[in-house]
Amino acid sequence: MSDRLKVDPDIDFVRELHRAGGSDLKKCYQCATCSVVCDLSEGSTVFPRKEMIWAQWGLKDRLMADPHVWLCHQCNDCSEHCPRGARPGDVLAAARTAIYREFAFPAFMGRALASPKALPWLILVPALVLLGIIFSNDALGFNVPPPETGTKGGFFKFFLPHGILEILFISGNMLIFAFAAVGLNRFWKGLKSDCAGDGPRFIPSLIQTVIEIAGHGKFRKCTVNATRSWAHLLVIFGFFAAMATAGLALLDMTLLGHAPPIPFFHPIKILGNLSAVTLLIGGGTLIVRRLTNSDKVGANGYADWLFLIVLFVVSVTGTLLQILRQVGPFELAYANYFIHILSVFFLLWYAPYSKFAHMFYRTLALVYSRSAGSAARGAASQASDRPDGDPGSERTEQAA
Amino acid sequence: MENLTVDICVVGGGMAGMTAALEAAEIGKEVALIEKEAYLGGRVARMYHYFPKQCPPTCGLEINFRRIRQNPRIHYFTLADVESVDGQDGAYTVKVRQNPRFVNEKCTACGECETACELERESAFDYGLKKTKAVYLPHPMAFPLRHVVDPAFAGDAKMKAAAEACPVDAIDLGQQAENFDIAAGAVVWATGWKPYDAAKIENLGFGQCKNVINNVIMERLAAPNGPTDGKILRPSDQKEPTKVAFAQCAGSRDENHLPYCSAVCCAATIKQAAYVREKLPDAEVHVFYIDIRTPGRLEDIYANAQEDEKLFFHRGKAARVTEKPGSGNLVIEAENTLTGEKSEMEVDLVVLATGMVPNTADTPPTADAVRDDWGFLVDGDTGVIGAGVSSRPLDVSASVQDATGKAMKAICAKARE
Repeated sequence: MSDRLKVDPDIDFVRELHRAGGSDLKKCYQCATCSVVCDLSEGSTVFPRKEMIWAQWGLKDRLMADPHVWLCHQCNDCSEHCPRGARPGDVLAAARTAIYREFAFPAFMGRALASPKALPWLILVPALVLLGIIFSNDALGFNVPPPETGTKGGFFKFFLPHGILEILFISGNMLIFAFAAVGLNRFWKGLKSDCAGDGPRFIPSLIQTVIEIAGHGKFRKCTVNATRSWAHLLVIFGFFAAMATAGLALLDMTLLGHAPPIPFFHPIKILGNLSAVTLLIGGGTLIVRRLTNSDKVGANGYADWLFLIVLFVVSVTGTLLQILRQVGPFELAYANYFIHILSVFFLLWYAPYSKFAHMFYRTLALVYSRSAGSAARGAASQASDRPDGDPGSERTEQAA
Repeated sequence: MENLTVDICVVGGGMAGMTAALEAAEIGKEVALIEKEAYLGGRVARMYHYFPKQCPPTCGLEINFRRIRQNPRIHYFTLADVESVDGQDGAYTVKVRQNPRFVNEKCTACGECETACELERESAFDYGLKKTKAVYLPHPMAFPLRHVVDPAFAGDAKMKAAAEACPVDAIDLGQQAENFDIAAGAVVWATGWKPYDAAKIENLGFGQCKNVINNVIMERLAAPNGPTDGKILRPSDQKEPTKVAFAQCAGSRDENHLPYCSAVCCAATIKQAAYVREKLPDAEVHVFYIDIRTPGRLEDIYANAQEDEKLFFHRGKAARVTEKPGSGNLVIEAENTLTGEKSEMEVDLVVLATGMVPNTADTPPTADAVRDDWGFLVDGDTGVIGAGVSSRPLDVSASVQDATGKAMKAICAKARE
């Protein structure tokens, strides 16, 4: 006789999933078509059927501890083939949104990023910090005329000094990473798998996972949402290239002593412009697909749009920087710069609490899954050949 | 042909239609029975057995044919199409076109014409799996027991040779279609169903993989009057399968295909699994299901099936079927929802348990007939009454019960005039 399972449904959690995009999850009748058509689900990492029953029964703990929620790349192959329209792809996306909130440290930040009502405050706080810098810098030209537009240096420095910004970013990022580490550590410790743990150890798993992510090996298995795979790859490249550009520009300025602006054909500038182009194309494609093709792309919640739009604003304003510096007027150039810096703050400082956090959570879950290996813990149950009604005594926890 | 006045006109000569006609006629009503095929008996005539008792259709149909033959109040017309139904409660006019059989009542079904005929045609009775001669007997127990000439070949020169072979001069190639009207007080519409087109179901391989068949084809393979004389042989190489898989809910309970459950496929699969076990005692049968729906007395056949040591039930829908190149074998992918593991099973033959689509979905009795979202006739208060699968998915015994009730309804409708 198998162990009894005491089901303690968390009804609020079910409602949370409903609101976050999984509104049809109760339609699922556990046929497992989703698990079969999912090309990312194989061997003993089989999903999302079991996640659907956990969601229906409000078994929050299991979903929080499940690495398979992150193996899902929301291809929506499952949602397309689901005979009931239960949209498992959206349910797993809703679960991920719930996970960002669950492991957010401090907790109020997780709630803030999930709530449209908090958006004005989230914008206001960094805006006030920036305005403080501006006013203390006399940059609104009350006494000193602004520099000319063009290629001469000092244009943006006049408005927001580079030094103060760098201090703000670096110290802010360090603080954010510390906070993120707290949440991610709890997440990592909570992950559970039914596998025997016979995969590679942490560092080799991490390296293999990063390589796989670089090639988007898993993402490219999607058939229904294939466009998203390359659009996403462009965005990743664009983002890291933009970060690298910022870092290299800083080194160029501080260590090599070259004052900005960097000449157009300089490698750092080329990298920067390349990142702009890829971010615009990738991000633009993702936004357009969400607008025109929501059936295939998946439910569009607040968290999804917020992340995409902020990233897009960063890309557009960033691209406009060099153009407006040349063309002016300086009011427009400075306003654009203000929005750019504000949106970069928004993106980076709220990263652990917004959808941006998927970068960390998914990577960790993929590493965990790799380490867990593929063999089931304990004797493998061969219950598939037994007549119905006697599934064997090795009923695993996951087979609820 | 003369026009006819009856109390009740029944459209459709399958199990439900015959039952409704007989129940009304046997308490004294004049009944017209219109059937578009050349024989009465509908889909049941094409089966090997029906559940729950594995009865051959020869038994169940025979009773009805005898009752029809004995009853002067039933006027049946085969090869007859209904062109329109007009009128209201108590006074309907059914316009009928009697298509030519090209064979008259002198026919003794001796088969000389068939032997002499050189022309062949595809047999719709066997879902295209077999060819018959162009003049043929619909099936060995056809009622009326009379040959038919396929209208596509009636004008063919070679058909004359077959006609001349008839010892009793029964073949009349000059027959024409005739129109006539039936005046009736009520109309019972029992036009039955057709199988859902399994080729529309993506991922299950019907139409691409040779050894993926559906449940109606399986009936023909098992039937002694079928294309393989009752042997279950797989289409690609005519070999006996050693491992047969049944995929339940293929295109049913599915918003992308038929959103409803056809009610009979689970019991039909258990019945067909019994065919395999009977004819191929060493073969294994694997049933992939979401739920096994065998309500009421049918629970018994499910319980018996579970006892069978070569019959396996897997809870998890067969969601993908691919062909193994070379052998013609198939790989079925499903998740065993009881253990959480994905399985890939290689089998010789896959039977898709496809659902029923009512014929009223594309040919309702009248343009304003009330139907539900899927084409079934909704029971109402008019004198045009749906019976059998025209109303909802039903098995044979439930169809008979439904038709009996609908006969009563028709009698009452007529009485309201």
